[in-house]
Amino acid sequence: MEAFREPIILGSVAFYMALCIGIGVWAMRRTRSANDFFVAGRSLGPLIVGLAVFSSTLSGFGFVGGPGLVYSLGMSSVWMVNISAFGYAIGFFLVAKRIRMIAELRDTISLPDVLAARYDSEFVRLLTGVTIVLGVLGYLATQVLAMATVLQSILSGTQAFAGIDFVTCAALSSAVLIFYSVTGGIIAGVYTDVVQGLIMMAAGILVVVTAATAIPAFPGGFADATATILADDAEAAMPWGTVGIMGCIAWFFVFGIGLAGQPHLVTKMMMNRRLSDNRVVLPLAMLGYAVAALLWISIGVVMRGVVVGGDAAPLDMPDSAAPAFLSAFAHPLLAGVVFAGLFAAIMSTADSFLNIGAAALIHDIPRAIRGRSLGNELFWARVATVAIAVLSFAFALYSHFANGRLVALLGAFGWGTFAAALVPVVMFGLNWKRASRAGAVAAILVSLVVNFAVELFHIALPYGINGGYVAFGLAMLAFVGFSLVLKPRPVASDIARVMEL
Amino acid sequence: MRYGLVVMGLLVAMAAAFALVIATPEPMGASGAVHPGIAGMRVGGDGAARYAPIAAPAIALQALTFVLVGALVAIAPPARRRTPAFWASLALSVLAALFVWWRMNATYARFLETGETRYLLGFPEPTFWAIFGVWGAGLLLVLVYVVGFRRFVLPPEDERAFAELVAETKRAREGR
Repeated sequence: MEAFREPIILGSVAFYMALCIGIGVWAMRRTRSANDFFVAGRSLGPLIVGLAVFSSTLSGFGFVGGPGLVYSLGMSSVWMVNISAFGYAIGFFLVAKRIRMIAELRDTISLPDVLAARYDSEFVRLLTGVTIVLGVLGYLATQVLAMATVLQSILSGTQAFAGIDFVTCAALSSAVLIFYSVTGGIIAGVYTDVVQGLIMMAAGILVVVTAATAIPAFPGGFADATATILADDAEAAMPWGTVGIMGCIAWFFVFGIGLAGQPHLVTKMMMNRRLSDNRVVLPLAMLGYAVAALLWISIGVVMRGVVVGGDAAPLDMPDSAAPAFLSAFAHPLLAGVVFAGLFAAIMSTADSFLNIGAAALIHDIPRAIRGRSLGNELFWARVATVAIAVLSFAFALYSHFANGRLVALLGAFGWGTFAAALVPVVMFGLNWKRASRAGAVAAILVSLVVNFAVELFHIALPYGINGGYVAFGLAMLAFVGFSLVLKPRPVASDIARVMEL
Repeated sequence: MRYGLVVMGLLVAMAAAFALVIATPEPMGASGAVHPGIAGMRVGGDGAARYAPIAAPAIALQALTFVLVGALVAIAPPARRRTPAFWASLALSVLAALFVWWRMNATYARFLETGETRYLLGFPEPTFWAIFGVWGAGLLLVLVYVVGFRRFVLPPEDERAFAELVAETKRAREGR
């Protein structure tokens, strides 16, 4: 079997990509309107929504960047994973029901639509749309980098493609993503999410079993691996990792509470057929995430353990942790499934971002500026999808070659942008009648200014604190403060009734 | 108004704890340092030196964050659905998170003193609490949602009321 490792891995990845293209072609026939393209006509069952919610949460950031973070920083990044149950619970309690209700009442297709309805403000729609476009570029760049990293590590191990370069790998994988996202819109997105979610869960289980039982250097499983890490640097194996307690607390806040405002997730909460499906969607999404996230911790711990223990050479770059683990320790069949799983994780998030970014560009921003969205929305949605993909591709390459940013840190910036700017506006807006338009505007502006200032001016906060945390905290203070001080404006009667339910 | 003041109070208390942390001079390597022998890897170094000066405000900050999570979830159901059972289950979830947080810090402080730790499910005990304890505490909140769905989240009468609202809106739109 070992002799067939290369063909098995290549075959698995090629099969997976062909499946995505096939789903794209199939979904194109079902996509007849902008409503189909952006929210799948609000017709999806709980299994599909549940898998789509979790698979779009755990992206290339998690499957490629996550193991890299554990390798590089020790256990610190556990604080981006252990929050999943809290994060999903907050999101479903505070957002899922009412966003779905408003979507049906007002026939909305995007998060800015919902917020414009709640705050009765085109300016809030505009700010939300701009925030989404900015965050999407950062986050999509993460996915492009992750796809290229994985594809290059697969192809460069073969004789035929040994010298393949990073840019070609980025272009090849992006082409598949663009194809099915453009043809099939969100319908292709969610159905590929189902396939991708199942592959990711299988990959998570198989990897954790391999990591716990099949590493020659660690016959005692994880206990041996963590003991080796602890002997090298105790802090790396302890709960705060190398980053320290404040960095971890910041990540908990941004990734846990911040989950409730991620536009690619909350948009999926608008797609289910029945409101009562949420009762199934939440545990399904949380369970899927938990199983798949095992891969993040398992691979990172094993790779850091074997390297500090002297059983393997140091990695060229932390982001190669997952591919290196699969090449060194995984059975060829498992490697095939997990490599396909890596692509699945990346693409399932990327397609969601392409979709919400396109909605912001051709629906929300024009509507906020000139009172109506573009004519022939479906055509322009496809054009905008390509445009955003190309822009993100360029940003990814710039970030890779000029900046040398890790996949996960770029992803954390994108996530932080959404969390800080949108969570207060969505979470309080849908549940607290006193939440005001001025509070929403202040929260978005404060968060964008702080988050981008920290990033652009390379401001290093003490104690490893993430800039997104400060931006998020200030945005919440601004939102609640403005809403308390200013006299509340009446909410539209239908929205007010939704808030009573 | 009262709800807003509670959330504002929590946020201000968190900001105060955060300010105390920031005001504490940062010890060398507070957020890690480059690994002496392996490129691309970082180390945490002297745990006690970087934990002790900020432990109290940092622990308070995260405890307040757990309380904030409870306060946020508290406004999700409309006032009439916030029954004693809802409050009790919400309080239980927050208390579980605070218990996990206490165990994590207590076992970590003991490790810093003694250099010894137990291993649970393959991880040093403080890390076990970070991974499985925090996740498990969040799971309680998920259970409250699932088990209490028809009582706190979407009772059948609310579902019917929403269907009526949709029908009314449709009629109004068609009549326009």
